[in-house]
Amino acid sequence: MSSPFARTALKAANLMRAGAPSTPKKGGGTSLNGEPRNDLIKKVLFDAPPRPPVRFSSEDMTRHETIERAWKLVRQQQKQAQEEGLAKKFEMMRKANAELEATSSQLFKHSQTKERHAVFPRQLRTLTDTPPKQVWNYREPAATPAPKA
Amino acid sequence: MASLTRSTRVLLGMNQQPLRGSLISNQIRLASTTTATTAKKGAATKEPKQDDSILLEHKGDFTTGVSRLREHYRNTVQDDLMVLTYSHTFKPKAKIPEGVRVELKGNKHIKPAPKAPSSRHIPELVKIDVHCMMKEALVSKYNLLSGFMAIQSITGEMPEIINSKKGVHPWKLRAGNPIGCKVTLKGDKMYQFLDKLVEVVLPRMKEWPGLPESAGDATGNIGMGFPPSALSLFPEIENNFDMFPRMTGFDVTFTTTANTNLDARLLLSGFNMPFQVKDRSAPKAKEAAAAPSIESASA
Repeated sequence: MSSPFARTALKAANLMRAGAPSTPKKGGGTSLNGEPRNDLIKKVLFDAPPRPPVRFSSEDMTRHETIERAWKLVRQQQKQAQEEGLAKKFEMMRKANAELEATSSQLFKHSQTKERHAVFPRQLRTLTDTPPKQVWNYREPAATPAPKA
Repeated sequence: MASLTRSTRVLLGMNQQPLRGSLISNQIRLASTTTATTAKKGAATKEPKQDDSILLEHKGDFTTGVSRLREHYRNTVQDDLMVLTYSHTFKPKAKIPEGVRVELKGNKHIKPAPKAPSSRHIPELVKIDVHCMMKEALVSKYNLLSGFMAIQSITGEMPEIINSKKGVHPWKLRAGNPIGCKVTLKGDKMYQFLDKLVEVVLPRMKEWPGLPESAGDATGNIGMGFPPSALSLFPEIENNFDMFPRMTGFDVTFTTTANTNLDARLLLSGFNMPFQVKDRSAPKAKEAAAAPSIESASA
């Protein structure tokens, strides 16, 4: 399976199989509501053993804290840069709108009316690590807005 | 079963040491990490032993991989939304003075007043709620386990069980019956779930035309429901389909910071969520499109 979620799916499958008893139980095990799978699910969800606590030396602790603080700082700087960029763009947009309002009221009204059912185009591509198998469909024309149905 | 690795625990969202479950096992767990409950978040607690080892307080779920859709939102969608949702003429609504109670007719409620447009008020996805209600739980509460496990596998978070508030006798429902389970997703998990929906599940759904054009609750949130067949399309469930006694439907609610339906739809479509688009071309153009086909058919 080439899907990006294959790893998580396989792990879940292995876990469920591991949880099943290797030999069939004799007598009446509590198969909840007559369904042995419910028993397995309950065991996997609630009766799993607790996780052993992580032990750090004081050296490791300082290292850990330093790394955490450094990463927080990087994220803070990125967020600040992002917000600054947005604020600048917004200011430019506001000035442009004000200028248009002063220049022509008809054009300004036209610019302020919004399409009621505006959506991003379906061809919008979110970023991926690798390109798709079919980079561009040269044969068919560009997709029309009306659906087939 | 005893050899549950850390990664599988992360996968199953079991890091939070759920407080639901058998009381005895919980007590044993709590007794082994007594300082965990009293220590503050992130604080280190010292062991009373001779070796200088410190117990690390578990801070949160660690998700592997970069949040692809969050990056997409920050790089592409946010800027475009800021422009598309901008309105130069803004009139602030008259604030209702404190203590005054306004009642609208017809059981309507007062919508929150929209704020002045600014670069800080751009529609953003806040959380996703996944909820499933199973009627089979009325017969026996253990039937709920299937939906519980399914939702946990899909989302990676432990759901909470929803009990009925009131009893309805014709449906054999009593107050306080466990009837459904719900999970709230935020942050990385939210974007991962949305990614799964949009890339894997929705394209495979049969005869699903997309969200309706009028989707939304007028305050910027959008909800949608899935039939039981959709559950089997998730990769986590598809692989061990036989382990789930029953496939159940579920509903998904997207909560956003948008103020209107349009903004909410714009935001979701930015994540490749398909919406039904009606052909709104001029009537003359439609006639022209119809005429040549009739001619060609007759010829």
